[in-house]
Amino acid sequence: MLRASWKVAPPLKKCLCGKSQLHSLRQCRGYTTGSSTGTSAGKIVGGSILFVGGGLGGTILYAKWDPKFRENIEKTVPYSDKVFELALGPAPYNLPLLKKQDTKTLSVSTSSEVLKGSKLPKSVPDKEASAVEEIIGEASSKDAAAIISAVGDAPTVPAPGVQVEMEEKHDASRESCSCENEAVQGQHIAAEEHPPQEVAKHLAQQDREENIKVVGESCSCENEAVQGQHIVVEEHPPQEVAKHLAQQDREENIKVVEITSTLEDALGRSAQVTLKAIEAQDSAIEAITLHAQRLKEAMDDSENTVDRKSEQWRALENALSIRSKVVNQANEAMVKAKEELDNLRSTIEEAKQSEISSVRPQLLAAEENLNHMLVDLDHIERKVQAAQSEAKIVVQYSELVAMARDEFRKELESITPDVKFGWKNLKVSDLAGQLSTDDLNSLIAHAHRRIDQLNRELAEQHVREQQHIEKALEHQKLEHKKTLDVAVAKALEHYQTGILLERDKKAEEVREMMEAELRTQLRRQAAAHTDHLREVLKIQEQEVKGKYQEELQQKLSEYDIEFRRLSQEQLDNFTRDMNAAYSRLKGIEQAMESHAIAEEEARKAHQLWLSIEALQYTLKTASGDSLTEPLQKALEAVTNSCGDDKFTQALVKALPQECLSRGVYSEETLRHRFYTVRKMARRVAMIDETRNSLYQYFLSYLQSFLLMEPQVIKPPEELKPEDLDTFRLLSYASFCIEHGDLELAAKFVNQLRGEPRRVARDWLTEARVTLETKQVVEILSAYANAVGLGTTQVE
Amino acid sequence: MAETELTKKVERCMADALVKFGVGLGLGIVFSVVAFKRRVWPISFGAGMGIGMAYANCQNDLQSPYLMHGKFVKNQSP
Repeated sequence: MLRASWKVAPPLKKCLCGKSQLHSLRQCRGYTTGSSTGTSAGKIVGGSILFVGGGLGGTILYAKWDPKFRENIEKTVPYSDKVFELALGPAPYNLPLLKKQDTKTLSVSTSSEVLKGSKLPKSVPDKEASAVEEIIGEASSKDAAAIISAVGDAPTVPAPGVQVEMEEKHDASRESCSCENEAVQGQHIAAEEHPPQEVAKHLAQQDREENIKVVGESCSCENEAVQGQHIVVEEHPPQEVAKHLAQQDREENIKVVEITSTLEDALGRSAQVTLKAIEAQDSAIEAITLHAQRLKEAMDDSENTVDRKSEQWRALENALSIRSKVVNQANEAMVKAKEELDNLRSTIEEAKQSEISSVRPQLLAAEENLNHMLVDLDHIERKVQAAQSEAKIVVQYSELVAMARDEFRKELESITPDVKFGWKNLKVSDLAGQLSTDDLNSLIAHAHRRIDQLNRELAEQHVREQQHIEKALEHQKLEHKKTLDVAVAKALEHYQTGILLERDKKAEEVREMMEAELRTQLRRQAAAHTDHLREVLKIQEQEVKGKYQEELQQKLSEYDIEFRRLSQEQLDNFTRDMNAAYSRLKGIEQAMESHAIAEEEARKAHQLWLSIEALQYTLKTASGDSLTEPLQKALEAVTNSCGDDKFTQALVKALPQECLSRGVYSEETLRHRFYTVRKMARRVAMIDETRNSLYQYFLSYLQSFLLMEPQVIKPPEELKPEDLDTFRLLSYASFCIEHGDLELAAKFVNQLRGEPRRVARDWLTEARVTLETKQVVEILSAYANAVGLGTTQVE
Repeated sequence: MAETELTKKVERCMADALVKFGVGLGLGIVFSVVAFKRRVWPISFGAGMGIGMAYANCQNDLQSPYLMHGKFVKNQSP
């Protein structure tokens, strides 16, 4: 039914409009002209057929002549295009439509290229901008493209700058390194003083070692000299040898002094004691002789008076006591002397063992004295012994005599016990007076017997005299021999000792001589040796000096090199560390700066985002059908916050003026308004630029009532020409509006032509403004979001 | 608002039509009475003229955006 009515209307239109097509396009004023009714039906029919045919033919002819007319007819009358094709051929007006579409696609692709971004700034921004202009239809897109390309260039720019910086840094660091090197070299006061000190220490050590070596060499030389000089096997350095010698000398001196003192003391003491002993011995001898004499006298002089005898006996006793005393004393003295002599001998022995040659003569003298003293003592002893033996003989004699007397007395006592016999002092007469005759007889008998015995003994003695004498002589000889032997031995001993002493003395003298000679020889040798040594030493000194110098130089150079190397190493290490630290510092600084910059950027971005959000909010605040607030203030905030961001500035400039001053409509408002627009557009759907009579208005009004298009149709992906019908377009737009796609709806509304377009014009402009503003704000928001994303640091 | 413009125009037209009709009618009546001896035709003529004028006005008003006024420019030698 819809289609039927739809099909009905155009033929109706056509047949109604057919008469007006005789006129030109715009100046056509469609007047309804009256038709002249004929007389008869046939005439009427024929006339009408003729008229229609004429009209058709005229139309076709005129369409052939004027293609625009043909176009119009084809547009208005539905199947006229087929008729025309049959009659005339295909229409020549399809090309402009295709061209438009191609340009459209071209511009889309180029803009996409632009939007994708290119690193190199293309030299064809104008073309692209012009192509873009067709789609967007604004001059700001050129700036956007330029900005996008500029933004594309932005990241590449800092890199060479950074490289340059790095190079500069390297150069600067190298320069600083060289400067530091120079400074260090010039100053010699590096922060680390160990290497030079160590090297110096090492050098010093080396020097010391060398010195020691040199000293050792000299020591060895001197040792050789010492070896050459002395017979001493010990190897000491000369100073030590000298010291040792000096020490030895000192010791020797001390010892000599000691020994001499001891010797003197000992000698003195021994001499004293010996003298004492000798004196004592002499006195003893005297005493003994005296005693013997006295005894002899006492024995012999038995006829002296009693007093004298008693005196003699008393004197004898005294002499005896004296003798014993003196003898004791002498013995003691002897012993002492012997002891002293022994001491002296021991000291001499010790002194001998000390092997000090200078003491020899003293020792010899002491020995001589000792010998003399010993000899004297021996003599004295012999004398004493001789005296003692004589005294003994005398004593024996006296004892014999005493024994005989005692026997005699005993005999007499035995014979005549009553008579007390005294000594010879008693006279016989006294005897005779006391004794009886028997006693006297016995006594005389005894006496006779005794005399006989004695005569017999005497005869025997006479007989044995020779024997006795021989025995005695032999005895005497033996004794003599003994004594001789002893004396000889003693004399031999003495002689031997004397000889030894002499020999020692001689040896000493010879030694002294030899020593003196040796000394002179040695002195000469020493002199020669010293001369030789001096020369050799000089030569050696030269050699050694040269060697030493060489070695020193070598070592110095070595150590110098080593030192340099080490210092260089230190410097290198230091510079490397410094460089590392410096670069790190730089890196840190840069990082911090970049951080600061990034934070600044973040802050700015945040501000921007906030301002854009405010803008969006102001955009959204719409109550009912009224306009939004003017966005001027919000935009000012945005411009303040964006600062020198060209993109934002461009976008801000891209905002349409109406939104700033007046505000924009919200989508809701536009939605509501659209329905009004749609209604009106439907009503004037048939009115286009060409036929605008009032009748047309009425017809279109009628059409809008009769035509049933669905309220909303989903628009297809591609538009076909038959979709460009007003009602269709409006349905599509409604659909888009319903689904919130204002842009597409505006696009569809933009396809309206003629009066519906005029009716929708305001709505369209408002929608356009709204869309623009929305777009710009969305771009800004997206930009703010992007910037914010870019600047946020993930923590 | 463009969408209300049309309605306004239409309203104007109708008002205009009414006025012109009334004025035409009135003038017709007047003329009929005065000059044309109470015939009907001046009334209808007047009314019709009124309506016609209103119609033409309305049409012109509605067509006004699409009218192009051209000038005939004589071909002048440069």
